[in-house]
Amino acid sequence: MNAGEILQYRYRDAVNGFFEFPTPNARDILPRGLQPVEPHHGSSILAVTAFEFEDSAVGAYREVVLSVVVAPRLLPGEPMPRSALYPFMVGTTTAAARRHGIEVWKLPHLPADLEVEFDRHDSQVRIAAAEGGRPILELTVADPGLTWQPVEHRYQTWSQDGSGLYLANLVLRGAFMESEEERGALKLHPHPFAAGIELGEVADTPFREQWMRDGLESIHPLQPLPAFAER
Amino acid sequence: MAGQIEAEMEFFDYDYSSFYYSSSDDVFAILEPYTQWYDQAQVRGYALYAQPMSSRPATRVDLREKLGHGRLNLLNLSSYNYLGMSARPEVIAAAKRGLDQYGLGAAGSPVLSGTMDVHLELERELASFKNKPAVMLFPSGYSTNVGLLQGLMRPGDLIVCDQNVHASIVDGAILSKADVRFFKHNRPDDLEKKFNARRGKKLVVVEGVYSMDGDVCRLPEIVEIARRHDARIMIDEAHSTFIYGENGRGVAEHFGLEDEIDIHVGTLSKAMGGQGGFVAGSTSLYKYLEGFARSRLFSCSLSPVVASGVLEAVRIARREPELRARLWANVRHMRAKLAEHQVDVGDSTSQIIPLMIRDDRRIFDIAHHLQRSGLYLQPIVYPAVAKHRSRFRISVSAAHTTEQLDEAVDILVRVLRTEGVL
Repeated sequence: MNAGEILQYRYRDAVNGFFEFPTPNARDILPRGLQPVEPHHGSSILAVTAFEFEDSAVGAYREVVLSVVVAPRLLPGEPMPRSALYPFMVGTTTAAARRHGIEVWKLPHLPADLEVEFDRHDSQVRIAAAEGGRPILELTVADPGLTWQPVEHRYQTWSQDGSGLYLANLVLRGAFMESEEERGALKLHPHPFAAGIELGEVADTPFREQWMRDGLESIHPLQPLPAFAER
Repeated sequence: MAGQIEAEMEFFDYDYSSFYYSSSDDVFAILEPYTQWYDQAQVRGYALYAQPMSSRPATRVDLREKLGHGRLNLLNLSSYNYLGMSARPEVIAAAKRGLDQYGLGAAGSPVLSGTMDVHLELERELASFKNKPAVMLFPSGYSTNVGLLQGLMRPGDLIVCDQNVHASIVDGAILSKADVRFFKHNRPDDLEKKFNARRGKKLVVVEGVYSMDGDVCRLPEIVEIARRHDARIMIDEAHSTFIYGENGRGVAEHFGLEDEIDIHVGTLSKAMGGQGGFVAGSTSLYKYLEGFARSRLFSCSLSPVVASGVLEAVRIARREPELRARLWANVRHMRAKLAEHQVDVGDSTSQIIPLMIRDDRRIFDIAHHLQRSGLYLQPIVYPAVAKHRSRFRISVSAAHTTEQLDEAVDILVRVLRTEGVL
């Protein structure tokens, strides 16, 4: 694959929960130069995301991601993203997906194959992630009966390595549901996957739940922003 | 040089919150994308906000459309003129006398040359009404909460607020530099968790009636928890003063808990139909805030014209309890009529009745339809309320006639049926 091309990942489910956690904890996780978005003063957003990819450059795999929601970067001549994420821990079910995520997207991964199960019902989906039988997290996102809309949402993701910060634009297409009915749930277990998070301080109910089905994730090439990172 | 919203990008993918956080190398980079969205927003329905009014905010109002420039005469369910005071002849006459005596403005800070005898008279009247040793006036409800919290709390202190408190409370808490935590709306069990064995100065902040949902604070449980954690309690009764309680002193009186509350806040812009806010409490609190509530210290005093009108309004409210009775009769009537048609009003039990639409995309179309049908109702959408909890907020007033309320419900039901909501 070419580093300059848009890479596409076809997914069956993309599930996301937004959970409040303390801003000092978010700042500890974020590199300098990135600002956490605060839904309430003093509270930032931990995004817990799970994908079931049916097809990609590295085949089918499942993935769970912990991110902090950050202020998007406005770039000259580029469309405004809906929001921006700084993923600080990724877990995948295959070694190929893990190598791909590290080499291409410079994202930190747990160095192990995870078990990620999607338990789907009409009104909710429950994701359970574990490593060798040791639980990592359980995430439930519920659909309170909303109309699913076909959407094309633009986001930014940030990553970093020793050279500085990188930004990638990504577009998610698919049928979309978003709710703030607080019917979902999160259980984060003590595990290196969640290292750096004060587990007792993370809300166990999402203030926002998102669920996309049968869609396509397109990730644009990484853009290095070294000057930005040096601040 | 700024980012852009693609022309074909869906308007509803963005909202006000999308434009709050952004980073770039230019302070003005956000202006262009915001303006593009704003201009679309006006056309898609946001022009319904802040339509200029050319009449009193009475039960019928004259409005001018922002986009079409048409002139409208509408039945008003949007203003929070709960007791109809803004148009009472005695109130207007008192304000005119105030204008003649004092001129237009106070021309000074209350701590320098801006205190006039009408301000002190109004403070005494409000203290007598609230049955508290002292009341301090502020030039607005917003500046009341900002000045109170910034003036009283310090870095290292803890402020625990209901997550639905007014922005003025949030801003005051931020300005104080105290640690701020929010508990889930009206959930005493969640309040309990927020103390986390914290030592030092603690203040719990709640409202009597919450302005978006119209629900009443679960004050007895909140007082019990706050006391157990040695926290002081502040209640903002902006939407409940002159409305709740046997004497109209608010939700704290309604629950018989007035003496358990350390700081009482009220506004003069809602049931009193004027402007300004006040803090009721001890004389020592008054003295301290006089020195440290910067939003009052560094603002011009409340206009003596408004103070004169409000003073008369307070006296009317005290001597005419039938006004409050009339308001509650109207609320009961409105609720009964809405219930007949199975209109979803959420958890409200007050004079604020949310008419739940729960569809962020369609609410503006419905709002246009309501306005074309003769009703003035404001759509409330995210981020003012949670996503997909969009609603119209009905404010019932004692000034509404039964016929007006019936007409309003007829219009509502007809439009909601046409739009497929009912």
